[in-house]
Amino acid sequence: MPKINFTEEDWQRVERDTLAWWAGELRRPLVYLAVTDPAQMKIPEAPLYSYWSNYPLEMPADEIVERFEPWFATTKYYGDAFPWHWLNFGPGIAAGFLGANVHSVREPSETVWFSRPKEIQLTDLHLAYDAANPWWLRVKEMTSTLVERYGSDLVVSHTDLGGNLDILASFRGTQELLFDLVDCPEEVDRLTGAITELWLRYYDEQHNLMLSTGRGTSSWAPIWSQGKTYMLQSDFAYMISPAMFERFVVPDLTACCNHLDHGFYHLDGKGQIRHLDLLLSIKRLRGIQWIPGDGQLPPHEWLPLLKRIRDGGKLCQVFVSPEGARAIVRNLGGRGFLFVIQPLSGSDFQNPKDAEAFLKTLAEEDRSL
Amino acid sequence: MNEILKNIYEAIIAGDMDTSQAEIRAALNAGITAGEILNTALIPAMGEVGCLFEKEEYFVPEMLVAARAMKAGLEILKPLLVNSGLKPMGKVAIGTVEGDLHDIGKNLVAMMLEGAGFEILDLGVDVAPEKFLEAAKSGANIIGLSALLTTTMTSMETVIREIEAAGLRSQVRIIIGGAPVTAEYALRIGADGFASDAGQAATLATTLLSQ
Repeated sequence: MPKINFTEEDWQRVERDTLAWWAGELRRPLVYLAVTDPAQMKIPEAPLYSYWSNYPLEMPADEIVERFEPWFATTKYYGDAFPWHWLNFGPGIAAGFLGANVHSVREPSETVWFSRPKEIQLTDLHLAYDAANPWWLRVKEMTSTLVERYGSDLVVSHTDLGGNLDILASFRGTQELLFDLVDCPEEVDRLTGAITELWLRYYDEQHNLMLSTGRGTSSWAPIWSQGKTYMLQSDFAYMISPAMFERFVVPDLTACCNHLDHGFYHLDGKGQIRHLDLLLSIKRLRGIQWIPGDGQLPPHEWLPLLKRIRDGGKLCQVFVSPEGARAIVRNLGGRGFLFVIQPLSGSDFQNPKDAEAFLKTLAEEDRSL
Repeated sequence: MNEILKNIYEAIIAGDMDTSQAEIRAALNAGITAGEILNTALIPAMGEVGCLFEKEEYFVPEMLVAARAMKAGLEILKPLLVNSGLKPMGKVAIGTVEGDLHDIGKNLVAMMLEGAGFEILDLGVDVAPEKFLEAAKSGANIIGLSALLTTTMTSMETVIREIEAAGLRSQVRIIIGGAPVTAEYALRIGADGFASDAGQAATLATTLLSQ
């Protein structure tokens, strides 16, 4: 089995503290700090794509997984970090599972996007599970390959299935769907309801492939759960009113949260803040991730919003710089937060003493302690 | 405001395409000129839609249906406006910059500009700098550049430099917008203005051409 720098004692510690965090019993924040040593990492002959969908479908799964071995082998885990890998097939790959076109882009920068297979009237659109869909088969194959190779040493996270309206937009086109919300809301209700059911099926089938690891689940952010967790989302929500969010999105989020043990929501950009009260009212939604969006101030500059999330009874996850995490613990206290630390440069924290010193400082400055 | 014109104004704000068309036909039958309908009902209605969007009373779907109602009305008026010799406020060439496939923001701005009386040349998404340059050469008064990503917004500067290099900078106004774009960035790259939303873009374009 390939080497990963994480012992069973490390697992027990992380699992114990994360369980306490979910229960609201951990007085300090969780801090995910994982550092990969670029100097130690063997440069693979071919690139490591961020999107697994950018590898040709005919490429053997083992070959792709092997490319990531140096990455896992040279990563060091500090704080509450654990070995984790996100099977990223693009934002909303469930649309691909249901027959939307999947466009892989490698240059000039990597991305994946989806488009409708054909123009179709909303009333004629019927989305159905297809067990033979090549993208769905590929996600299952990759999940199984990682699980077989790493077993309980690695948490393989769910792929980014997508939000209900985001998936639907891949079949209608964004602008057409925006018109649909006004012109034929009942049809949108029908399709979003169907997407929720399909989403839950995809979630559970991928989850079943992970059960043998005994390491629970994670999402595209490194949040661990002993049961079922997921980062729910609706990028489409940026464009719509709270009334439309309540009608078209909240029922889906509620159904997913009822199905999950630890549902989280990806609050993406200031245009989504208007939906926060509705999100806070979803009882089984356990936490909210705040992403300010491109060109905006970093998360630690949004203290009133972070306070509102936490005062609303939800946990909160942010991607922050070390200084950003310190600003939050100094001003709000760290309790209830998960800081995923983004070192400012590849050389940050290469020396374990620097990582330990940072964690010590964070604890010393934490108002919650 | 005349009752029929008021009905047109309200139908556009409500996004009621059928009523806006029916009332425009009624207005024409009642002897109201196309120019008066445009200037007294359509343009103020879209201005109000822009205000409602700024106040977060309207969101993208409401704005889109209002723009659709305005466009449907404009289809009836266009031939009459051409015959009457009424000229558009100016010509705006608009597009999402190279490498960026996002189009909703750009479409909204185009619709609001059209609603404000501008002629629109929609260049689409992932538009190469040469296309904007071509539009400047072909007589566009304003070039509108949209970007949703920090990775693509740098193309805005490339477009401006190309227009400068072609010696056309003094002939066109360049306005920019998109989620990561700021007024400071507009100033830094030498754009003439920045708008944070579609309503503001229409006001900005009108102001720039009246200077």
